[in-house]
Amino acid sequence: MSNSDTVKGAEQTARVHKTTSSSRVLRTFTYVLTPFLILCILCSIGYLALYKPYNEFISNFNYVFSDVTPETKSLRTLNKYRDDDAPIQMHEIEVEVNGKTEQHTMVYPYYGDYYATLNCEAAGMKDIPVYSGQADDILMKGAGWYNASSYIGKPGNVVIAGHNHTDFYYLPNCKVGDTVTLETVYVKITYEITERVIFHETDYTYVEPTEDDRLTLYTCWNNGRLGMSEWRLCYICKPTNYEWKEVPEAE
Amino acid sequence: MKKLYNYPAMLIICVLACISVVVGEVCILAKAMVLNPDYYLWVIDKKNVTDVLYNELDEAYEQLSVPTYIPKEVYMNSITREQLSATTRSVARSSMQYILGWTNDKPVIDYDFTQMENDITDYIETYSEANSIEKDDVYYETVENTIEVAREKLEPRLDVLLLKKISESRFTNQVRKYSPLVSAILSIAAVVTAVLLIFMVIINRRHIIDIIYWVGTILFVSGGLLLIPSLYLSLTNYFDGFILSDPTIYAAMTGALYGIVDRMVMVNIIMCCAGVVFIIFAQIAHSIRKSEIKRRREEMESIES
Repeated sequence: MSNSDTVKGAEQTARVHKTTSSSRVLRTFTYVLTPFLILCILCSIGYLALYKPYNEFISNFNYVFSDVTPETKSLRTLNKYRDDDAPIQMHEIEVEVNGKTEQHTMVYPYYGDYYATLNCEAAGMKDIPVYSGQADDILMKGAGWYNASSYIGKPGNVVIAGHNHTDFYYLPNCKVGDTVTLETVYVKITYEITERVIFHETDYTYVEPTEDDRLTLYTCWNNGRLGMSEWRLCYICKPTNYEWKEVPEAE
Repeated sequence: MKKLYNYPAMLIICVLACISVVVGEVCILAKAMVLNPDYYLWVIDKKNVTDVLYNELDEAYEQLSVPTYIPKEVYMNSITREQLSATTRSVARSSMQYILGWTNDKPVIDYDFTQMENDITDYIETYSEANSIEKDDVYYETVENTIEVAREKLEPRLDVLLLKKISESRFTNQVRKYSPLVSAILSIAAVVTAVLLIFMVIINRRHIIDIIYWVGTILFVSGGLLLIPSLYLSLTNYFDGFILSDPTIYAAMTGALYGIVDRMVMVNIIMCCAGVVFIIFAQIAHSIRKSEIKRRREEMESIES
Protein backbone atom coordinates (compact mmCIF):
# COMPACT_ATOMS: atom_id res chain seq x y z
CA MET A 1 0.00 0.00 0.00
CA SER A 2 1.35 3.44 -0.95
CA ASN A 3 1.85 6.25 1.54
CA SER A 4 -0.96 8.34 -0.08
CA ASP A 5 -3.39 5.46 0.32
CA THR A 6 -2.46 5.13 3.98
CA VAL A 7 -2.91 8.85 4.55
CA LYS A 8 -6.23 8.84 2.75
CA GLY A 9 -7.33 5.91 4.87
CA ALA A 10 -6.29 7.71 8.03
CA GLU A 11 -8.11 10.89 6.97
CA GLN A 12 -11.23 8.91 6.20
CA THR A 13 -11.01 7.22 9.58
CA ALA A 14 -10.54 10.60 11.25
CA ARG A 15 -13.61 11.97 9.40
CA VAL A 16 -15.67 8.94 10.45
CA HIS A 17 -14.60 9.42 14.06
CA LYS A 18 -15.47 13.15 13.85
CA THR A 19 -18.98 12.36 12.49
CA THR A 20 -19.51 9.67 15.11
CA SER A 21 -18.64 12.06 17.98
CA SER A 22 -21.13 14.73 16.95
CA SER A 23 -23.78 12.23 16.02
CA ARG A 24 -23.27 10.57 19.39
CA VAL A 25 -24.16 13.83 21.09
CA LEU A 26 -27.22 14.20 18.85
CA ARG A 27 -28.27 10.63 19.53
CA THR A 28 -27.98 11.16 23.26
CA PHE A 29 -30.12 14.28 23.12
CA THR A 30 -32.68 12.59 20.91
CA TYR A 31 -32.81 9.48 23.04
CA VAL A 32 -33.21 11.34 26.32
CA LEU A 33 -35.34 14.27 25.22
CA THR A 34 -37.82 12.51 22.91
CA PRO A 35 -40.19 11.52 25.76
CA PHE A 36 -40.17 15.09 27.05
CA LEU A 37 -40.68 16.43 23.53
CA ILE A 38 -43.77 14.22 23.10
CA LEU A 39 -44.97 15.25 26.56
CA CYS A 40 -44.69 18.92 25.57
CA ILE A 41 -46.49 18.30 22.28
CA LEU A 42 -49.36 16.53 24.02
CA CYS A 43 -49.56 19.13 26.80
CA SER A 44 -49.84 21.80 24.10
CA ILE A 45 -52.54 19.85 22.29
CA GLY A 46 -54.37 19.34 25.57
CA TYR A 47 -54.07 23.03 26.42
CA LEU A 48 -55.48 24.09 23.06
CA ALA A 49 -58.27 21.50 23.17
CA LEU A 50 -59.30 22.26 26.75
CA TYR A 51 -58.78 26.04 26.77
CA LYS A 52 -62.35 26.93 25.93
CA PRO A 53 -64.08 24.35 28.21
CA TYR A 54 -61.65 25.29 31.00
CA ASN A 55 -62.61 28.98 30.81
CA GLU A 56 -66.26 28.00 30.73
CA PHE A 57 -66.19 25.79 33.81
CA ILE A 58 -63.35 27.16 35.98
CA SER A 59 -65.60 29.68 37.71
CA ASN A 60 -67.94 26.84 38.71
CA PHE A 61 -65.05 24.78 40.06
CA ASN A 62 -63.66 27.75 41.97
CA TYR A 63 -67.08 28.37 43.47
CA VAL A 64 -67.43 24.75 44.61
CA PHE A 65 -63.87 24.35 45.91
CA SER A 66 -62.85 27.78 47.17
CA ASP A 67 -64.47 27.76 50.59
CA VAL A 68 -62.44 28.18 53.75
CA THR A 69 -60.49 24.99 54.54
CA PRO A 70 -60.96 23.13 57.84
CA GLU A 71 -57.38 24.09 58.71
CA THR A 72 -58.24 27.79 58.53
CA LYS A 73 -61.50 27.27 60.38
CA SER A 74 -59.62 25.57 63.22
CA LEU A 75 -57.67 28.83 63.77
CA ARG A 76 -60.89 30.73 64.55
CA THR A 77 -61.16 31.11 68.29
CA LEU A 78 -63.72 33.93 68.60
CA ASN A 79 -66.34 32.97 66.04
CA LYS A 80 -66.27 29.88 63.85
CA TYR A 81 -67.90 31.78 60.99
CA ARG A 82 -65.09 34.32 60.50
CA ASP A 83 -61.33 34.72 60.93
CA ASP A 84 -60.20 36.25 64.23
CA ASP A 85 -58.56 39.17 62.44
CA ALA A 86 -61.49 39.95 60.14
CA PRO A 87 -61.80 43.78 59.83
CA ILE A 88 -64.51 45.54 61.78
CA GLN A 89 -67.36 46.55 59.47
CA MET A 90 -68.14 50.20 60.24
CA HIS A 91 -70.62 52.22 58.22
CA GLU A 92 -71.75 55.83 58.41
CA ILE A 93 -75.49 56.40 58.27
CA GLU A 94 -77.72 59.42 58.36
CA VAL A 95 -80.69 59.40 60.70
CA GLU A 96 -83.40 61.95 61.41
CA VAL A 97 -83.57 62.95 65.05
CA ASN A 98 -86.22 65.52 65.99
CA GLY A 99 -86.41 66.82 62.44
CA LYS A 100 -82.61 67.16 62.10
CA THR A 101 -80.35 64.89 60.08
CA GLU A 102 -77.51 63.44 62.11
CA GLN A 103 -74.60 61.28 61.06
CA HIS A 104 -73.79 58.22 63.14
CA THR A 105 -71.53 55.19 62.89
CA MET A 106 -72.89 51.67 62.84
CA VAL A 107 -70.93 48.45 63.30
CA TYR A 108 -72.28 45.59 61.21
CA PRO A 109 -71.73 42.18 62.81
CA TYR A 110 -70.38 39.12 61.04
CA TYR A 111 -72.54 36.02 61.11
CA GLY A 112 -72.10 34.42 64.52
CA ASP A 113 -70.81 37.62 66.21
CA TYR A 114 -72.16 38.88 69.50
CA TYR A 115 -74.39 41.79 68.43
CA ALA A 116 -76.54 43.22 71.21
CA THR A 117 -77.90 42.85 74.74
CA LEU A 118 -81.64 42.57 75.34
CA ASN A 119 -83.44 43.54 78.53
CA CYS A 120 -87.05 43.47 79.66
CA GLU A 121 -86.90 43.85 83.39
CA ALA A 122 -90.65 43.70 83.92
CA ALA A 123 -90.67 40.14 82.56
CA GLY A 124 -87.44 39.11 84.27
CA MET A 125 -85.32 39.10 81.10
CA LYS A 126 -81.93 40.53 82.01
CA ASP A 127 -78.83 40.90 79.85
CA ILE A 128 -79.90 38.38 77.23
CA PRO A 129 -77.04 38.08 74.66
CA VAL A 130 -78.14 38.52 71.06
CA TYR A 131 -75.96 36.99 68.33
CA SER A 132 -76.03 37.56 64.59
CA GLY A 133 -77.74 34.63 62.89
CA GLN A 134 -80.24 31.95 63.86
CA ALA A 135 -78.38 28.70 63.20
CA ASP A 136 -78.91 25.97 65.79
CA ASP A 137 -75.44 26.36 67.26
CA ILE A 138 -75.90 30.14 67.60
CA LEU A 139 -79.24 29.77 69.38
CA MET A 140 -77.48 27.49 71.85
CA LYS A 141 -75.41 30.49 72.99
CA GLY A 142 -78.10 33.15 73.11
CA ALA A 143 -80.91 34.80 71.18
CA GLY A 144 -80.41 35.18 67.43
CA TRP A 145 -80.89 38.27 65.30
CA TYR A 146 -82.40 37.28 61.96
CA ASN A 147 -79.76 38.63 59.61
CA ALA A 148 -82.18 39.09 56.71
CA SER A 149 -84.09 41.60 58.86
CA SER A 150 -83.08 45.22 59.48
CA TYR A 151 -79.87 46.08 61.30
CA ILE A 152 -80.47 47.40 64.82
CA GLY A 153 -80.80 51.17 64.47
CA LYS A 154 -81.83 51.12 60.81
CA PRO A 155 -85.43 51.65 59.72
CA GLY A 156 -87.63 48.58 59.39
CA ASN A 157 -88.33 45.34 61.22
CA VAL A 158 -85.60 44.02 63.55
CA VAL A 159 -86.35 40.34 64.23
CA ILE A 160 -84.86 38.41 67.15
CA ALA A 161 -85.65 34.81 68.11
CA GLY A 162 -84.67 32.67 71.07
CA HIS A 163 -85.33 29.25 72.54
CA ASN A 164 -88.29 29.04 74.89
CA HIS A 165 -86.45 26.89 77.45
CA THR A 166 -83.33 29.03 77.72
CA ASP A 167 -82.86 32.70 76.85
CA PHE A 168 -86.50 33.44 76.03
CA TYR A 169 -87.88 31.39 78.93
CA TYR A 170 -89.42 34.50 80.48
CA LEU A 171 -90.68 36.00 77.22
CA PRO A 172 -94.26 34.78 77.88
CA ASN A 173 -94.20 37.00 81.03
CA CYS A 174 -94.02 40.14 78.87
CA LYS A 175 -97.14 42.32 78.65
CA VAL A 176 -98.30 45.09 76.36
CA GLY A 177 -96.83 48.33 77.66
CA ASP A 178 -93.62 46.80 79.06
CA THR A 179 -90.30 48.45 78.22
CA VAL A 180 -87.65 46.55 76.25
CA THR A 181 -84.11 47.81 75.64
CA LEU A 182 -81.76 46.64 72.96
CA GLU A 183 -78.16 47.84 73.22
CA THR A 184 -75.27 47.47 70.76
CA VAL A 185 -71.83 49.10 70.68
CA TYR A 186 -73.21 51.96 68.61
CA VAL A 187 -76.79 52.57 69.85
CA LYS A 188 -79.16 51.86 72.70
CA ILE A 189 -82.84 51.71 71.67
CA THR A 190 -85.76 51.68 74.06
CA TYR A 191 -88.99 50.00 72.87
CA GLU A 192 -92.51 49.62 74.18
CA ILE A 193 -94.38 46.34 73.63
CA THR A 194 -97.50 47.09 71.63
CA GLU A 195 -98.82 43.71 70.54
CA ARG A 196 -98.79 40.02 71.53
CA VAL A 197 -99.37 37.49 68.75
CA ILE A 198 -99.42 33.70 68.40
CA PHE A 199 -98.78 32.55 64.84
CA HIS A 200 -98.13 29.28 62.99
CA GLU A 201 -94.54 28.42 62.04
CA THR A 202 -95.44 28.61 58.34
CA ASP A 203 -96.73 32.20 58.70
CA TYR A 204 -93.83 34.49 57.79
CA THR A 205 -95.83 37.74 58.06
CA TYR A 206 -94.21 38.81 61.30
CA VAL A 207 -90.63 38.31 60.18
CA GLU A 208 -91.01 40.11 56.85
CA PRO A 209 -89.78 43.68 56.25
CA THR A 210 -92.16 46.44 57.36
CA GLU A 211 -92.66 50.09 56.51
CA ASP A 212 -92.61 51.14 60.16
CA ASP A 213 -89.76 50.71 62.64
CA ARG A 214 -90.30 47.84 65.06
CA LEU A 215 -88.66 45.08 67.06
CA THR A 216 -90.15 41.58 66.76
CA LEU A 217 -89.29 39.04 69.46
CA TYR A 218 -90.51 35.48 69.07
CA THR A 219 -90.06 31.99 70.43
CA CYS A 220 -91.68 28.54 70.29
CA TRP A 221 -95.05 28.44 71.99
CA ASN A 222 -95.47 25.11 73.82
CA ASN A 223 -97.76 26.40 76.53
CA GLY A 224 -96.09 24.10 79.05
CA ARG A 225 -95.91 21.05 76.83
CA LEU A 226 -92.80 19.15 75.79
CA GLY A 227 -91.84 18.78 72.18
CA MET A 228 -91.53 20.92 69.07
CA SER A 229 -94.54 23.15 68.73
CA GLU A 230 -95.85 24.38 65.40
CA TRP A 231 -96.80 27.70 67.01
CA ARG A 232 -94.75 30.80 67.82
CA LEU A 233 -95.29 33.44 70.49
CA CYS A 234 -94.38 36.90 69.27
CA TYR A 235 -94.13 40.38 70.79
CA ILE A 236 -94.10 43.46 68.57
CA CYS A 237 -92.35 46.48 70.04
CA LYS A 238 -92.25 50.11 68.85
CA PRO A 239 -89.15 52.27 69.43
CA THR A 240 -89.54 55.17 71.84
CA ASN A 241 -85.97 56.42 72.23
CA TYR A 242 -82.59 56.21 70.50
CA GLU A 243 -79.29 56.88 72.30
CA TRP A 244 -76.53 56.94 69.69
CA LYS A 245 -73.00 56.29 70.94
CA GLU A 246 -69.57 57.39 69.78
CA VAL A 247 -67.87 54.45 68.14
CA PRO A 248 -64.05 54.53 68.41
CA GLU A 249 -62.30 54.21 65.04
CA ALA A 250 -61.03 50.74 64.18
CA GLU A 251 -57.24 50.24 64.65
CA MET B 1 -26.54 6.30 23.06
CA LYS B 2 -28.61 4.23 20.71
CA LYS B 3 -29.64 5.64 17.37
CA LEU B 4 -33.39 5.84 16.80
CA TYR B 5 -34.35 4.66 13.33
CA ASN B 6 -37.34 5.93 11.33
CA TYR B 7 -37.59 8.72 13.87
CA PRO B 8 -40.27 10.99 12.33
CA ALA B 9 -42.72 8.17 11.63
CA MET B 10 -42.19 6.59 15.03
CA LEU B 11 -42.61 9.98 16.70
CA ILE B 12 -46.00 10.54 15.08
CA ILE B 13 -47.20 7.03 15.87
CA CYS B 14 -45.98 7.45 19.45
CA VAL B 15 -47.96 10.68 19.87
CA LEU B 16 -51.12 8.98 18.60
CA ALA B 17 -50.52 5.93 20.79
CA CYS B 18 -50.09 8.14 23.87
CA ILE B 19 -53.43 9.79 23.19
CA SER B 20 -55.20 6.44 22.86
CA VAL B 21 -53.52 5.11 26.03
CA VAL B 22 -54.63 8.21 27.98
CA VAL B 23 -58.19 7.86 26.67
CA GLY B 24 -58.17 4.18 27.62
CA GLU B 25 -56.82 4.93 31.09
CA VAL B 26 -59.50 7.54 31.72
CA CYS B 27 -62.19 5.07 30.62
CA ILE B 28 -60.80 2.37 32.93
CA LEU B 29 -60.77 4.87 35.80
CA ALA B 30 -64.35 5.87 35.05
CA LYS B 31 -65.53 2.25 34.91
CA ALA B 32 -63.61 1.11 37.99
CA MET B 33 -64.36 4.06 40.25
CA VAL B 34 -66.70 6.83 39.16
CA LEU B 35 -69.32 4.55 37.58
CA ASN B 36 -68.89 1.73 40.09
CA PRO B 37 -71.28 1.63 43.08
CA ASP B 38 -68.81 -0.47 45.09
CA TYR B 39 -66.35 2.41 45.07
CA TYR B 40 -68.75 4.59 47.01
CA LEU B 41 -69.33 1.81 49.55
CA TRP B 42 -65.55 1.65 49.96
CA VAL B 43 -65.45 5.42 50.55
CA ILE B 44 -68.11 5.17 53.29
CA ASP B 45 -66.15 2.42 55.03
CA LYS B 46 -62.60 3.65 54.58
CA LYS B 47 -63.19 7.33 55.28
CA ASN B 48 -65.06 6.70 58.59
CA VAL B 49 -68.10 8.52 57.27
CA THR B 50 -70.38 6.66 59.70
CA ASP B 51 -68.47 7.96 62.71
CA VAL B 52 -68.64 11.53 61.41
CA LEU B 53 -72.38 11.10 60.82
CA TYR B 54 -72.95 9.73 64.32
CA ASN B 55 -71.11 12.68 65.89
CA GLU B 56 -73.01 15.13 63.73
CA LEU B 57 -76.33 13.59 64.80
CA ASP B 58 -75.23 13.74 68.42
CA GLU B 59 -74.67 17.50 68.05
CA ALA B 60 -77.88 18.04 66.08
CA TYR B 61 -80.03 16.31 68.68
CA GLU B 62 -78.30 18.17 71.47
CA GLN B 63 -79.35 21.38 69.76
CA LEU B 64 -82.87 20.01 69.21
CA SER B 65 -83.12 19.18 72.90
CA VAL B 66 -83.14 22.92 73.72
CA PRO B 67 -86.39 23.97 72.00
CA THR B 68 -88.14 20.65 72.66
CA TYR B 69 -86.90 20.21 76.26
CA ILE B 70 -86.44 16.51 75.47
CA PRO B 71 -82.97 15.23 76.40
CA LYS B 72 -80.60 14.30 73.58
CA GLU B 73 -80.41 10.73 74.87
CA VAL B 74 -84.07 10.14 74.06
CA TYR B 75 -83.32 10.80 70.38
CA MET B 76 -79.94 9.07 70.30
CA ASN B 77 -80.98 5.96 72.20
CA SER B 78 -82.21 4.15 69.10
CA ILE B 79 -79.36 5.22 66.79
CA THR B 80 -76.46 2.81 66.31
CA ARG B 81 -73.43 3.06 64.10
CA GLU B 82 -74.24 -0.29 62.52
CA GLN B 83 -77.70 0.84 61.48
CA LEU B 84 -76.32 4.14 60.14
CA SER B 85 -73.65 2.30 58.17
CA ALA B 86 -76.12 -0.17 56.70
CA THR B 87 -78.54 2.59 55.67
CA THR B 88 -75.94 4.92 54.16
CA ARG B 89 -74.47 2.03 52.16
CA SER B 90 -77.91 0.98 50.99
CA VAL B 91 -78.81 4.51 49.89
CA ALA B 92 -75.50 4.95 48.05
CA ARG B 93 -75.78 1.57 46.29
CA SER B 94 -79.40 1.94 45.23
CA SER B 95 -78.87 5.55 44.11
CA MET B 96 -75.85 4.65 41.95
CA GLN B 97 -77.67 1.69 40.45
CA TYR B 98 -80.55 3.96 39.55
CA ILE B 99 -78.27 6.65 38.12
CA LEU B 100 -76.45 4.08 35.99
CA GLY B 101 -79.71 2.64 34.74
CA TRP B 102 -79.12 -0.80 36.24
CA THR B 103 -82.53 -0.56 37.90
CA ASN B 104 -85.60 1.61 37.49
CA ASP B 105 -86.52 1.47 41.19
CA LYS B 106 -85.98 4.93 42.62
CA PRO B 107 -83.78 4.94 45.71
CA VAL B 108 -85.50 5.38 49.07
CA ILE B 109 -84.06 5.99 52.50
CA ASP B 110 -85.16 2.92 54.37
CA TYR B 111 -84.39 3.71 58.01
CA ASP B 112 -86.47 2.24 60.81
CA PHE B 113 -87.68 5.13 62.96
CA THR B 114 -90.05 3.00 65.06
CA GLN B 115 -87.81 2.87 68.10
CA MET B 116 -87.14 6.62 68.02
CA GLU B 117 -90.83 7.43 67.63
CA ASN B 118 -91.68 5.20 70.59
CA ASP B 119 -88.94 6.74 72.73
CA ILE B 120 -90.11 10.28 72.00
CA THR B 121 -93.80 9.46 72.50
CA ASP B 122 -93.11 7.62 75.77
CA TYR B 123 -90.98 10.44 77.13
CA ILE B 124 -93.56 13.13 76.31
CA GLU B 125 -96.35 10.96 77.70
CA THR B 126 -94.51 10.36 80.97
CA TYR B 127 -93.79 14.08 81.38
CA SER B 128 -97.38 15.04 80.54
CA GLU B 129 -98.83 12.58 83.04
CA ALA B 130 -96.45 13.81 85.74
CA ASN B 131 -97.46 17.43 85.06
CA SER B 132 -101.17 16.79 84.46
CA ILE B 133 -101.08 18.04 80.89
CA GLU B 134 -104.27 17.34 78.98
CA LYS B 135 -103.92 15.04 75.98
CA ASP B 136 -105.94 17.11 73.57
CA ASP B 137 -105.53 17.70 69.86
CA VAL B 138 -102.73 20.18 70.45
CA TYR B 139 -100.87 17.58 72.53
CA TYR B 140 -100.98 14.98 69.75
CA GLU B 141 -100.07 17.62 67.12
CA THR B 142 -97.03 18.57 69.18
CA VAL B 143 -95.95 14.94 69.54
CA GLU B 144 -96.32 14.39 65.80
CA ASN B 145 -94.44 17.57 64.98
CA THR B 146 -91.62 16.62 67.35
CA ILE B 147 -91.27 13.20 65.74
CA GLU B 148 -91.35 14.81 62.28
CA VAL B 149 -88.62 17.31 63.21
CA ALA B 150 -86.52 14.52 64.72
CA ARG B 151 -86.85 12.50 61.51
CA GLU B 152 -85.88 15.55 59.45
CA LYS B 153 -82.70 15.87 61.47
CA LEU B 154 -81.67 12.33 60.55
CA GLU B 155 -83.15 11.30 57.22
CA PRO B 156 -81.49 13.79 54.83
CA ARG B 157 -78.12 13.17 56.47
CA LEU B 158 -78.22 9.49 55.44
CA ASP B 159 -77.63 10.54 51.82
CA VAL B 160 -73.97 11.12 52.65
CA LEU B 161 -72.71 11.34 49.09
CA LEU B 162 -75.77 13.25 47.80
CA LEU B 163 -76.28 10.40 45.33
CA LYS B 164 -80.00 10.23 46.03
CA LYS B 165 -80.26 13.95 45.35
CA ILE B 166 -78.28 13.50 42.13
CA SER B 167 -80.56 10.61 41.12
CA GLU B 168 -83.52 12.99 41.31
CA SER B 169 -81.89 15.52 38.99
CA ARG B 170 -81.64 15.71 35.20
CA PHE B 171 -78.03 14.59 35.52
CA THR B 172 -79.25 10.98 35.78
CA ASN B 173 -80.56 11.05 32.21
CA GLN B 174 -77.19 12.29 30.96
CA VAL B 175 -75.32 9.53 32.82
CA ARG B 176 -77.71 6.83 31.57
CA LYS B 177 -77.22 8.11 28.04
CA TYR B 178 -73.44 8.33 28.04
CA SER B 179 -72.18 5.73 30.52
CA PRO B 180 -72.59 2.80 28.08
CA LEU B 181 -70.26 4.66 25.72
CA VAL B 182 -67.37 4.29 28.17
CA SER B 183 -66.95 0.58 27.40
CA ALA B 184 -67.15 1.26 23.67
CA ILE B 185 -64.56 4.04 23.88
CA LEU B 186 -62.29 1.80 25.96
CA SER B 187 -62.51 -0.97 23.36
CA ILE B 188 -61.77 1.47 20.53
CA ALA B 189 -58.80 2.89 22.43
CA ALA B 190 -57.43 -0.63 23.02
CA VAL B 191 -57.79 -1.55 19.35
CA VAL B 192 -56.20 1.70 18.20
CA THR B 193 -53.27 1.22 20.58
CA ALA B 194 -52.76 -2.35 19.35
CA VAL B 195 -52.89 -1.27 15.70
CA LEU B 196 -50.40 1.53 16.30
CA LEU B 197 -48.03 -0.88 18.06
CA ILE B 198 -48.28 -3.23 15.09
CA PHE B 199 -47.41 -0.31 12.79
CA MET B 200 -44.39 0.44 14.96
CA VAL B 201 -43.23 -3.17 14.70
CA ILE B 202 -43.71 -3.17 10.92
CA ILE B 203 -41.89 0.12 10.40
CA ASN B 204 -39.02 -0.85 12.69
CA ARG B 205 -38.84 -4.52 11.82
CA ARG B 206 -35.10 -4.27 11.07
CA HIS B 207 -34.42 -2.66 14.46
CA ILE B 208 -36.93 -4.47 16.59
CA ILE B 209 -35.16 -3.56 19.80
CA ASP B 210 -36.28 0.05 19.25
CA ILE B 211 -39.84 -0.98 20.09
CA ILE B 212 -38.84 -1.36 23.74
CA TYR B 213 -37.76 2.26 23.74
CA TRP B 214 -40.96 3.50 22.10
CA VAL B 215 -43.18 1.44 24.38
CA GLY B 216 -41.31 2.94 27.32
CA THR B 217 -41.83 6.40 25.87
CA ILE B 218 -45.57 5.78 25.49
CA LEU B 219 -45.83 4.62 29.09
CA PHE B 220 -43.78 7.55 30.40
CA VAL B 221 -45.64 10.22 28.44
CA SER B 222 -49.17 8.91 29.05
CA GLY B 223 -48.38 8.45 32.73
CA GLY B 224 -46.92 11.93 32.93
CA LEU B 225 -49.88 13.54 31.19
CA LEU B 226 -52.32 12.39 33.87
CA LEU B 227 -49.80 12.56 36.70
CA ILE B 228 -49.30 16.33 36.37
CA PRO B 229 -52.90 17.39 37.06
CA SER B 230 -53.54 14.67 39.64
CA LEU B 231 -50.37 15.58 41.55
CA TYR B 232 -51.44 19.22 41.46
CA LEU B 233 -54.85 18.39 42.91
CA SER B 234 -53.31 16.16 45.56
CA LEU B 235 -50.42 18.37 46.68
CA THR B 236 -52.46 21.60 46.80
CA ASN B 237 -55.30 19.83 48.71
CA TYR B 238 -57.60 21.37 46.13
CA PHE B 239 -60.74 19.68 47.42
CA ASP B 240 -60.26 20.89 50.99
CA GLY B 241 -62.17 24.05 50.09
CA PHE B 242 -65.31 22.07 49.27
CA ILE B 243 -68.24 24.40 49.72
CA LEU B 244 -70.60 22.10 51.60
CA SER B 245 -69.42 22.38 55.19
CA ASP B 246 -71.83 19.78 56.60
CA PRO B 247 -69.27 17.47 58.28
CA THR B 248 -70.65 14.17 56.97
CA ILE B 249 -71.14 15.28 53.39
CA TYR B 250 -67.75 17.01 53.44
CA ALA B 251 -65.99 13.89 54.71
CA ALA B 252 -67.73 11.63 52.20
CA MET B 253 -67.37 13.85 49.12
CA THR B 254 -63.77 14.87 49.71
CA GLY B 255 -62.98 11.26 50.57
CA ALA B 256 -64.43 10.11 47.23
CA LEU B 257 -62.60 12.81 45.26
CA TYR B 258 -59.26 12.29 46.97
CA GLY B 259 -59.67 8.52 46.55
CA ILE B 260 -59.87 8.96 42.78
CA VAL B 261 -56.97 11.41 42.70
CA ASP B 262 -54.76 9.20 44.90
CA ARG B 263 -55.42 6.20 42.69
CA MET B 264 -54.56 8.25 39.60
CA VAL B 265 -51.32 9.42 41.18
CA MET B 266 -50.32 5.89 42.12
CA VAL B 267 -51.14 4.33 38.76
CA ASN B 268 -49.44 7.06 36.76
CA ILE B 269 -46.30 7.03 38.89
CA ILE B 270 -46.08 3.30 38.20
CA MET B 271 -46.55 3.94 34.47
CA CYS B 272 -43.88 6.65 34.42
CA CYS B 273 -41.42 4.44 36.30
CA ALA B 274 -42.19 1.50 34.01
CA GLY B 275 -41.59 3.77 31.04
CA VAL B 276 -38.22 4.87 32.38
CA VAL B 277 -37.27 1.25 33.04
CA PHE B 278 -38.18 0.28 29.48
CA ILE B 279 -36.16 3.21 28.04
CA ILE B 280 -33.11 2.32 30.11
CA PHE B 281 -33.55 -1.37 29.31
CA ALA B 282 -33.64 -0.56 25.59
CA GLN B 283 -30.30 1.24 25.89
CA ILE B 284 -28.80 -1.60 27.95
CA ALA B 285 -30.04 -4.18 25.42
CA HIS B 286 -28.54 -2.11 22.61
CA SER B 287 -25.18 -1.77 24.45
CA ILE B 288 -25.05 -5.51 25.10
CA ARG B 289 -25.85 -6.27 21.46
CA LYS B 290 -23.26 -3.75 20.25
CA SER B 291 -20.51 -5.17 22.45
CA GLU B 292 -21.45 -8.68 21.29
CA ILE B 293 -21.14 -7.60 17.65
CA LYS B 294 -17.82 -5.89 18.37
CA ARG B 295 -16.49 -9.00 20.09
CA ARG B 296 -17.48 -11.20 17.12
CA ARG B 297 -15.86 -8.78 14.66
CA GLU B 298 -12.63 -8.82 16.64
CA GLU B 299 -12.74 -12.61 16.73
CA MET B 300 -13.22 -12.75 12.95
CA GLU B 301 -10.44 -10.23 12.36
CA SER B 302 -8.07 -12.18 14.55
CA ILE B 303 -8.98 -15.39 12.71
CA GLU B 304 -8.42 -13.68 9.29
CA SER B 305 -5.13 -12.20 10.35
